[in-house]
Amino acid sequence: MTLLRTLLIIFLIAVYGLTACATSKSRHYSSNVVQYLYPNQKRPIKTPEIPVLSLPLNVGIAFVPETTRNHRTLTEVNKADLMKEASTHFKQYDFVKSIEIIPSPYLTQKGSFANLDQIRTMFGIDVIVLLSYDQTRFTDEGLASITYWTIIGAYLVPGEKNDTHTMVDATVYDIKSRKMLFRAPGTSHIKSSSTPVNLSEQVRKDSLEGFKLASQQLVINLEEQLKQFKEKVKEAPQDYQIIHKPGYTGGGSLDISFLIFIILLGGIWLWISYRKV
Amino acid sequence: MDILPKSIKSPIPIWTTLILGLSIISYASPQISSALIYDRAAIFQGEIWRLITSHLVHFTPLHLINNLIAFGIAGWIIENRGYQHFVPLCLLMAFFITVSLIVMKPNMIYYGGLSGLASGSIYYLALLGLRESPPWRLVCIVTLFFIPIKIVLEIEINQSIFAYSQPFTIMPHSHIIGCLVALILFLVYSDTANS
Repeated sequence: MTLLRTLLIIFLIAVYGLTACATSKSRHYSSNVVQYLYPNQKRPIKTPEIPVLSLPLNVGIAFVPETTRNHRTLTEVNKADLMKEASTHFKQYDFVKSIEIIPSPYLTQKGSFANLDQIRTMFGIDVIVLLSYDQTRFTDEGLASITYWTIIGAYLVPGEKNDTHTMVDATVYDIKSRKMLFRAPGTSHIKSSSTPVNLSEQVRKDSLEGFKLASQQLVINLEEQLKQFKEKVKEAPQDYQIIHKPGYTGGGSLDISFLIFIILLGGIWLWISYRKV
Repeated sequence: MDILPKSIKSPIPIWTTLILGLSIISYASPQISSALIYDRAAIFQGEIWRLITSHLVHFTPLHLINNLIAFGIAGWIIENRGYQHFVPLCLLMAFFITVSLIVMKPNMIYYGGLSGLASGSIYYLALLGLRESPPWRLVCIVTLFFIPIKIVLEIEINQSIFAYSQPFTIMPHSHIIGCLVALILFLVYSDTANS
């Protein structure tokens, strides 16, 4: 009878353990460019004008405020690092004069274009690169999690399986005309495992790694989109007006005073040549 | 009845005509002008012909006409009088003007225009004219004073004295380099001739 009771207890523990293996937790973090720019759906959306791009451009780069304000996954330092990485790729283009990294506090929740206009005035930028993200983390307990019952297993056996899906999206807007110029995404998928004790630390690492990998892909896509945009501007001049700021294009040019002088010079030479004859 | 005296009716100034012709063709064809223009990024990517060809590119009809008249007159007189070294002069001016723009104007991405070559050619013409008899010599002396004064005024005012509306920034810098190259070439060849 005692043996039967012991077997029953072991069976129940095993059933509980296996059920526990199927436990899944997920967390979702995001910042949304549409919610930031068009927060009031009832208000009619203003049609974008034809953008006037004054080259070389002063570009700003910023992270869109998080949709869930109390649950952030990226710190200001992480954001600054990612923005620096993206900005270096913009700097290499001759049509970009400067690139300003705009700290998150300058972007207000649901700030819309009114907020972008403020930033435009404050930082003297023409175009802004709005970075938004979407990250979902899944944590599942694997079969090895049964060893947690030994307590030591919870410290030594990595039975937590983590999945981190990240998408970073860069949307480039001409602020004045409110026209989206182009966009580029970057995605990543990180898999890892950890013990329950260092689960949160591992998840944080995965999260940051996910952002880094997604950003690397974003930069590659961004370069491609930039090239395509340059071609698009050439092919559809009716959609984009390009003007050049002083000094961007130089011309060797002679004015009317010089012209009069050289014409006089030519005239005198002709006259002298006549006289000789 | 012949209008021009025999001394002027020498064969067509080949080099001047060639440069004027190429400038007109380049202006007429956007594809050609985009392949020839001074494009800082493209030069750094190895398209070094732009160092020479950029001077054939013009941005507006007035820009083209003004430069063609100035260069045309200067080149015509130089070739007609049989002054030597006009081709090396043009090549050296073209090269040094663009190289100096690369070094001294890093924020300038595009450049075009014959004016640097025109200014230098006029200066070269005036320098060689010092060896001629009056009154042409006197005219050349006036020219040698006029050009530097004009360039200084351009730099001071930061644009052409009687500026017309243009979609680019006028670069008096190229006029200075053109004249300096002309002066150096004149001095080098004078020394060689003397020795």
